[in-house]
Amino acid sequence: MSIIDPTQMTLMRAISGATLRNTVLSNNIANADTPGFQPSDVDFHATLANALEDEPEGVAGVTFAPEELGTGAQRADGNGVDSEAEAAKLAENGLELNALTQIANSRMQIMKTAMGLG
Amino acid sequence: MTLPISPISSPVSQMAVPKAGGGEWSVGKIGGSEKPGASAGATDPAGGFGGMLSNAIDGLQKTQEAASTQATQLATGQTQDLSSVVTAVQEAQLSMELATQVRSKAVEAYTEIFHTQI
Amino acid sequence: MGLFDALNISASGLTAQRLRMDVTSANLANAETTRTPEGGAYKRQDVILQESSGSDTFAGSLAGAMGSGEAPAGVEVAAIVDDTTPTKKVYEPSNPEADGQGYVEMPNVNPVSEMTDLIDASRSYQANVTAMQTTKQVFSKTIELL
Repeated sequence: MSIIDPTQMTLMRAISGATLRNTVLSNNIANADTPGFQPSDVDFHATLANALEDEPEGVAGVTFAPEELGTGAQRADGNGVDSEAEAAKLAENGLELNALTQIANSRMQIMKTAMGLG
Repeated sequence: MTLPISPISSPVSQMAVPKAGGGEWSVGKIGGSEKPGASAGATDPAGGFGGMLSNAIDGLQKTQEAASTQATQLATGQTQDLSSVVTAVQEAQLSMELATQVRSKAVEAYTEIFHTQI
Repeated sequence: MGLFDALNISASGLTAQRLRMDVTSANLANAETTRTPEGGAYKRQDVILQESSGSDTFAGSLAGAMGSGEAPAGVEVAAIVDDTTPTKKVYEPSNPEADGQGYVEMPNVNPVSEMTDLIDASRSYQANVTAMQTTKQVFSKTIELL
């Protein structure tokens, strides 16, 4: 048995998914004026949930990939970015990343306390 | 002649035995006329310090599992309310700290009694 | 109903108010336009906002079916419609757009009311930004408990 339990591994993979999502959402905002650009997003929650359903121990090998959203053109130039919605998603992802790292850190602290290092 | 080595619950149970009638905890007599293990509470397998300790460990385990479930739900996006996740993790952290403190105190008490000059 | 609904609701408000500003700016810019692809003078445009129904999403319909009521889902633009107020006729025989009697059809745009609309939309936008910042602070403070 590994010292990293499935929950801790899930949290760590979620942090990595949220980091990728941060990059993808930033890219969407950067391309808010690119004609024909369609925004993408990373649904790391669903990827993790599916991986956990299949096999909790296998969550360590989960990878994430950005998917293009089929929002269609929002403007005449074919651009599909709603910059306010993207900014909101970026803010929520930042908060979630913060929450995930804090909780992963707290769980590590619990482990250290149990080991008598707290 | 060899001194009988009593289990850890025996010296500690003298300090806190349940009253005959109610479930309240009270400080028992140390060095009184009563012999160790003579009270009904100390011999009762369900009660006593050992039973309390085992219940506390069960409770601690349940708290940790609850925090793990909440953390996994956050990572897989099934959380509705961040404060419940934070509260669960906080509770897990504090109960682990409490458990280690209680363990330290119990070991301290045991060694103190063990080193008592007879 | 998700963890960050409040942020997305504020974002829908931002999008709607920005569109209002876009349309109001177009009205202001075309306050003197006498020629349009549809023919005739420019017609003032109005934005119709409506509360978006939560039942559009799976989570919303689930919440509705489970009797917990429809979750708030923010605002959306229902339509951009032409203002049906009659256009003004201005006597200006020298204008190449003038009709037989020397009258020119001018847009039904009142620049003063457009300016107040613009300020109104801008204030609403700011209110949504403030709501968003407050939501973020609430989340951050909750995380700081750890």
